Amino acid sequence: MTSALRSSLTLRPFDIATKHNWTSVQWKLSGARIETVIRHEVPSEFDGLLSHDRADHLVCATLLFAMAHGRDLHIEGTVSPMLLGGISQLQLIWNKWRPLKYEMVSVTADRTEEPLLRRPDPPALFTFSGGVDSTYSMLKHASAETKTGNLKPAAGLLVHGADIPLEDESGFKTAFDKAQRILDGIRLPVIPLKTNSRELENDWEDSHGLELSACLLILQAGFSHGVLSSWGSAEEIVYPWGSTPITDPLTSTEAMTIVHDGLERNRIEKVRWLSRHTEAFGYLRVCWEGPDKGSNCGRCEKCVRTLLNCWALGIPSPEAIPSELTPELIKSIRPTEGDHLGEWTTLLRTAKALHAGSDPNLRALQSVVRAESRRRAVTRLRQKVGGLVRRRFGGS
Amino acid sequence: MGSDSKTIVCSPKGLSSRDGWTNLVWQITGITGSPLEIFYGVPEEDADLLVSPDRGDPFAAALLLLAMQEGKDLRIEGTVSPTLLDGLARIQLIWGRWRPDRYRKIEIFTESETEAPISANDGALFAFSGGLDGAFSFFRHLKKDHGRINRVPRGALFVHGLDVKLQHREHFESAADNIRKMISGTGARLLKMRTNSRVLPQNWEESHGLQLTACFLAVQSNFRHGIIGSGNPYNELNVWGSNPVVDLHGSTAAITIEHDGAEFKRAEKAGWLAANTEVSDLLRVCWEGEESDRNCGVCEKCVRTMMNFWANGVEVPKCFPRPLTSDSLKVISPWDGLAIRNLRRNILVAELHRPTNDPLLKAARRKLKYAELRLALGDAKRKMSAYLKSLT
Repeated sequence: MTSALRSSLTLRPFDIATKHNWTSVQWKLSGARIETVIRHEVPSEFDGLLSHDRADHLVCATLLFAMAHGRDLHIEGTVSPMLLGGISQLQLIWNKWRPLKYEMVSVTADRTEEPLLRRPDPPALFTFSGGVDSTYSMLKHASAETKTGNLKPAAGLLVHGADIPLEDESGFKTAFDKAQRILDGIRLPVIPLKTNSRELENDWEDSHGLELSACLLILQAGFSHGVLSSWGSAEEIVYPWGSTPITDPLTSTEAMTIVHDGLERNRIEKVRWLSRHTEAFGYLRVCWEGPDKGSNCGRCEKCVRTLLNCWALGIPSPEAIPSELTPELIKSIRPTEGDHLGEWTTLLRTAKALHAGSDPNLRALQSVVRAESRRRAVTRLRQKVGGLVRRRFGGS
Repeated sequence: MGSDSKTIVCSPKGLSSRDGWTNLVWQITGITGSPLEIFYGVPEEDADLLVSPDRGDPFAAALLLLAMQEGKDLRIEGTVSPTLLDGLARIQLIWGRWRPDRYRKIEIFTESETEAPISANDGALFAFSGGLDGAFSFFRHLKKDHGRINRVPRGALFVHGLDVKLQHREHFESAADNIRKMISGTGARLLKMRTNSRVLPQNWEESHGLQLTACFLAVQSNFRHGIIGSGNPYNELNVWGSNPVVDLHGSTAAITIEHDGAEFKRAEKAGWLAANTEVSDLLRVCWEGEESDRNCGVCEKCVRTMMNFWANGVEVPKCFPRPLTSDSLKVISPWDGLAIRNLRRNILVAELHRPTNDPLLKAARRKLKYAELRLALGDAKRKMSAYLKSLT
């Protein structure tokens, strides 16, 4: 369908409201039988940092929604010209990666204008969930581990509405307290930010990088860099994925450079670094599957993987994970999603260097990796045979 | 200083003029065969395009992977862009993971950190050897076919010493004349450059992106963007010297290095060039033939490019001295996974634009089936022996 014929989506300023000491910037997304208000809120003490007169953050939050619905997007507000260029490139990338899911659309704005330029001494805002990746990134930069390439952390940004649902107030409070306890060690604040952008029901695996960039960009007036932490090291990164070293920098504006950080270490190496260099290790929050989103459940894949990380390295498990590593616990996990198998394989390799072949945990780990590898091989074979049969006999 | 030193030292030697070229020369010590002089030269009439003689940005970029390979720190006795230093730190982290057996983390020391002057105009300089990727990027931007990301082509950079050897002066000049024809009437100028940076003992496949970046950095104050045409598309990225993960980190405040065109496959670029420009007949894609200023028409890359055009249902450009026939496919080795992947891509495009009984399409399919069988058998053999090994 040509863009002249299809109906488009419009974003327009809706409200800026302060209630219960939170300031909320609200924009309405409407068109094509859709009408919803997207909110980004911070405590009023931080509202001086909000770019409430600009729509840069909303372009990021709604791009994949518009592409998935094949709707052009018009913003009745001001957007950074650099970001619009980056968004063009992001569209090309997502359309190339998932051509059946994301259509190229037109993104326009009433005004294009550069945001206020960065401060001369660049402070950085880090997305900060209190997990392994973000804690590592932030504390590494704070420790100025390398001579060049260091950013100066100014605050961590904990997003309510990302992995912790908005209705789970107590879970977020617990997560916030843990995050603040980690950053107390380097005397930096955690800025809480609430957003309902997940109500757009984007595929979170594709959209999480853009949605987190949106949360960074709404605070671009106060920070020259926004940092997203990489889930893996450079050789582990898979494409397509929502946050990558290719896509994240494309959400930069003239005022805030978005950085994808942490490609130099894999998860197990980050765990080792944290256990050696910081006190924060005991407070990590890695879990997003358990019933209490503010704490670790101790039974999900990510909790067990973190316990395995510690065991493989021969270091004590963080107190924040309330379970003990046993062969039964290991065997209860199936690393079926994304590249979890790759991480479990790395774990197995590391564990073999330290633990005897007869170690029950090692044997359990081995059996999980073998079972999942076998399952994936069978699936691949089934797909190949199915394809062959379809080509030969023309079935659907 | 001998090669056993723990630091590679780069010192400015000023500008020198020779045979009509002005060279920015730095001396390198601390590597095998040193001291040696590395230069970036431009024709004398363009001498004012070069960065100041004490600016070490090009040398920091060109020597980074070599220093990492030798595990030696890099000392630049001049000034370097702080933006570039941050970018090189990130490139180190990436290559350190991609090839941990080859590259170690090193430190870069400089005398000072300053940015080069920034050009007042917003023009872009395009890497342009006369090949398909560079030509596609240049003309796509020229014809404003890149939405909001359009850059204004002000120059086409052709470097002598990268794919055309320095001793082949006539080939370089002949290829440069060809590029001049390709870009005539576009308002952009040909910028010739020469460098001996390939004498540095480092892996070309992994360092070529940084070596090309170094050439951009040598003239960074005249252009705001340096454009490198992509090789692989976004959905087939691999560990390679130039790709969208690392190229951008070669930027400074004066020039941003951009990896361009990865949303297209090579055959799509060929189709676009054939439909939108007159330059297809002037392309030079070959680097294996005896004469590096023209295409041999028989090597894998020539055959692949001829097929890129054929697959789109357009005529094979006249720049290839032999016709594309079933015999041409003999050069594609069934053991070469990359060549087979390229063959598969061309077949997929050809199936859209060529009749099913096209003799070349049939021959290509036969070739692909045979190669896939060989590759599958080889793969099964490897897996079986790995499995047997794990049992013991």
